[in-house]
Amino acid sequence: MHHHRLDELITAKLSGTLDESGRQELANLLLQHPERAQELSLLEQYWHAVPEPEAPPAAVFREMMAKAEPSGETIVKAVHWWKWIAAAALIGVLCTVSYQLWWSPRHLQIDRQLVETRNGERRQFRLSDGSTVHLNASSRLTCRLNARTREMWLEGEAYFEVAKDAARPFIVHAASMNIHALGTAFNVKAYPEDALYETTLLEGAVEVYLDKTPEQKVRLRPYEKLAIGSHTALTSPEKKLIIKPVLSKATMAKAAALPAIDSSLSETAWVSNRLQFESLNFEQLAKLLERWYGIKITFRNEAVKSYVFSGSFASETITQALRALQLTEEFHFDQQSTQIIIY
Amino acid sequence: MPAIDLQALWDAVYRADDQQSFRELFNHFYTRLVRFATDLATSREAAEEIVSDVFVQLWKNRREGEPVLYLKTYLYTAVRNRCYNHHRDEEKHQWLELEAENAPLSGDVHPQLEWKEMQQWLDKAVANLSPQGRTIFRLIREEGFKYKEVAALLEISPRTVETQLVRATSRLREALQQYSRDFDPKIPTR
Repeated sequence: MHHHRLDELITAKLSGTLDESGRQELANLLLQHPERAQELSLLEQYWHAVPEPEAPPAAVFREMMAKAEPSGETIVKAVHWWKWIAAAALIGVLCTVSYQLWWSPRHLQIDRQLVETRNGERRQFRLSDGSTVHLNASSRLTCRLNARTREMWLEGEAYFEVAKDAARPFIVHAASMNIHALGTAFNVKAYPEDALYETTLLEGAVEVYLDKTPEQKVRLRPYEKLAIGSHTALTSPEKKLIIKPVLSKATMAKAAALPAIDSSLSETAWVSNRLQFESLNFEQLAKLLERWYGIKITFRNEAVKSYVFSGSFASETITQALRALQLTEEFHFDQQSTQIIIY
Repeated sequence: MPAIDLQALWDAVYRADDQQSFRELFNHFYTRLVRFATDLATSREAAEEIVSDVFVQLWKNRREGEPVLYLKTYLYTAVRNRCYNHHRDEEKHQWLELEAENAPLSGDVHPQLEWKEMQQWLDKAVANLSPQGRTIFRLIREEGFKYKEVAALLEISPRTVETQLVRATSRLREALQQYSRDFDPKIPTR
């Protein structure tokens, strides 16, 4: 067969330069060699899955700017008021910016940054104040850092190690929870589709309060977890607050000596790249697996959903993970790339 | 990350001196340009310095003369020129090293999932292309340049761009075939 011609046509298809007669020719070639069609579809998937390169550390920009603007004065101060309005108008028109921007034109939103992860993707990054954030799969974190405050809006799950800065409180807003921290390490889990929103404290101290009841602050001690029901919470939040220790008293003594990221806890195992779970039914576990591996799981057998599993996965592929689960309970699965059917 | 409107950011830089927009542009382009400069056969350190210098000049000259219209093309061209200058004194620019000839793609891949594993496998095949082929492939696939733009940028003919890209496709198909030979056979069930 005409390998070279096929390569030419595939290349044109990938780069978007294939014309109508080329399309015909490619279709004909693939009809004769159906085994090549799968290669093409894999290559197309690969071609379009372009990874977003990591941004450089903040210091790289600072060093460059020191050369570009040797006087060191911030341009912001030199700008006349009408330029602010021009800039605000420009950005307002071109971005999908919330209307808040118009009410506080001096902040513009220039101090905000959005970090997102897809299913199966986890990211770790450092904020300009020195705090570290681990963002779990399929989560969104908006960060706002300026001279007076450090504020985050979270949808999904994140682990924070907060740099000490008494002058600037560190506040995380997640669903209806608000978490205040000063130099501490904690995990927040608030996926919109989950039944519970959770905050787990590893080190230091945090105060949590709900949107509806800001005067009722709950202070957590290390190795305590606060969980609220995500749906019922709106009507009677105070009844749904559950605080429970995530370690027994005995192990807490030991815990003091543990490093900040304690991977023996299932709440924070994900930070060390481990998926850990305890007494979850298969339906709940499937949700975790979907996020972790970036796959879609469908059940074709209701009975299977109620199987309960505990365990942990690290470098296993999804296939290996499911095979391991098959050792404890009986079920079948069928995998088509990222779609998995369990029955 | 959401797609960012580069043109809007650049407008804010040269019209309103907006440093934050400049920072976003810098963050968007820095890693890509460093990789591009490294492909043009400079060392990693030199590449980082070249890219930073290009941004220093861009900021300093943001209001001089005609505003830069096509920022992306401008940045890649400026980086290319500086890479060539960097070599000028030592030797004429040339593409170093040839394509790794059927270098065995050895697999120290840590699979999360078969798709990711395959992606990494193909990334390796791309990395094993000749530096010129790799650069062309990345400029077109990852930076969205047209054949003609790449040809102008690298000072080669559009025909060469196409030939190199077809070659890349052929290597990627070979890699896929090797991958399915080595890994796909069903793992025996326990």
